[in-house]
Amino acid sequence: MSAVIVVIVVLVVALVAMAGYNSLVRKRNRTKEAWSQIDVELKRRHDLIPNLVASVKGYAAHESGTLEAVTASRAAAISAGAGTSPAAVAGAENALSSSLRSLFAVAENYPVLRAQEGFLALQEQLAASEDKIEYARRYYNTSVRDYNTATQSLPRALLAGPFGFRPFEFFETAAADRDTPAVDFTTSAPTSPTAS
Amino acid sequence: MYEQIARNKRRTIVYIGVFFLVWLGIGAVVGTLYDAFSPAPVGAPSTEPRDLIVGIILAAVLAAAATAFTLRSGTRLVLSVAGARPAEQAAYPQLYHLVEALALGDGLPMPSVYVVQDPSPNAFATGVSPARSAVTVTSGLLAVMDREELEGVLAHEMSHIKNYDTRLLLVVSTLIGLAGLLASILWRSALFSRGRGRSGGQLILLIFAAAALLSVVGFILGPVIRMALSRRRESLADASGVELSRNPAGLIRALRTLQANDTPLARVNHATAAMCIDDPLQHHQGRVHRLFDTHPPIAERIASLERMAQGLSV
Repeated sequence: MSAVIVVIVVLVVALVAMAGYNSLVRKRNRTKEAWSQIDVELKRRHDLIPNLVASVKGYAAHESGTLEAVTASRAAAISAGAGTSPAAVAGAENALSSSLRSLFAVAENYPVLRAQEGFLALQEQLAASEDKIEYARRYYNTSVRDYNTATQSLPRALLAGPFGFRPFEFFETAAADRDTPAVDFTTSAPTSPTAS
Repeated sequence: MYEQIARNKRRTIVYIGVFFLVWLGIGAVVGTLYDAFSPAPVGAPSTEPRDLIVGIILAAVLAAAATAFTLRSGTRLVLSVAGARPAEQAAYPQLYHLVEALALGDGLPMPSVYVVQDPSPNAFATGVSPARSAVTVTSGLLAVMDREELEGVLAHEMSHIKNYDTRLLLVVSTLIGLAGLLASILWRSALFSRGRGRSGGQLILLIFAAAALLSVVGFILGPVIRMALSRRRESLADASGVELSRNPAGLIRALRTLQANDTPLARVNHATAAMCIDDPLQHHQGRVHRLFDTHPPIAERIASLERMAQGLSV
């Protein structure tokens, strides 16, 4: 009789553990997928930038400071993307975003450039890519929060340690990212994201 | 968020279950009526249970067939009736990109994007699942909205898809439409089969009774259920749309613009009225979940969004 009870208890515990493990795996995979979505969008943006720089150069060659800042921050973002630290990627990408904003602010001064269809299309694509990065970032952060909470709360926390479910880092952004860009012609210095 | 969706899915099943029960009840009543009216030889055993069951089975088969049809090709039907054309990325870059971005934010596959050439600003979402869904906007909407407003509207529509509102409305509307269609067929056949002997008179009575019952479902009960559903879900979609875009201002401004603009939908109105034989009274409530012409009133929606905006500091 008592043997039956023991077997039942063991079975129940095993089932609960299995369900917990599976939910951790599910959440981790969702988070990884969310990260790869961000990655795709970041790469797409990197690919757009050389075109943009080339088209601006044709009309506003003497804005070389701004153009160089964009090129440099793109290179920095690409090398940060080779690593795996979300914080480093976020820092480099935020710098790239702000240097792009300066570039578009500068472009406001060149009506001929702004009248170019190709330039407008590029501007729309870059705005879209900012949007997509932002939305992908939010989805990633939501997934990370879900996953981290699961790994830290009982009973799944008991499984998370032994089976190597490490918490993921959030993808932070500069607080001012959603604000309308201030037209500023002097600065192209990257703002570093506030680490948290 | 996931709990909310799970609750919505459960609620969908309950609503559809209740609707099916009502539907089967009609089958049972029609079966019993048929039995009461059909001339039975004196002394023969009662055929009532048999007729009752036949009625229920017929109703179930009809409803199941209609539901299966809706789940298979309801989306396509709705889109073609509304006159929606696929929006190419090259022709509508902003619209396309926003939908793409919002789908990323929800972690959903990107819905297809459609445009209706119609000066009246409006938008709707339809589809049986996020993987097979479509967002449609009118060219009038694109003309009057800036990027931020459009984002608010599209986030609202994406929320209908995410919350499975679109599937619920497709299925419920089909069942309501089926009741209305049957009712009008029956009315018509009752009129045409007039004057064919004595038993013909009784048959006509039966047909009238069935038609009356179906009309109650198709033209009164159905639309009431649908309106109640849609009102609740509009508010929910407003809220979860803002949760997605984190920008109540966009949707608020969009709603204000729509409030000011009262151009009726030319094409969609006409087409929807033709499609919904079920629903000539509320012709503006088609089989699709349309954004702006269902209750609650826009002013109320703006007010509750503004309350959200104050609570939300993003």
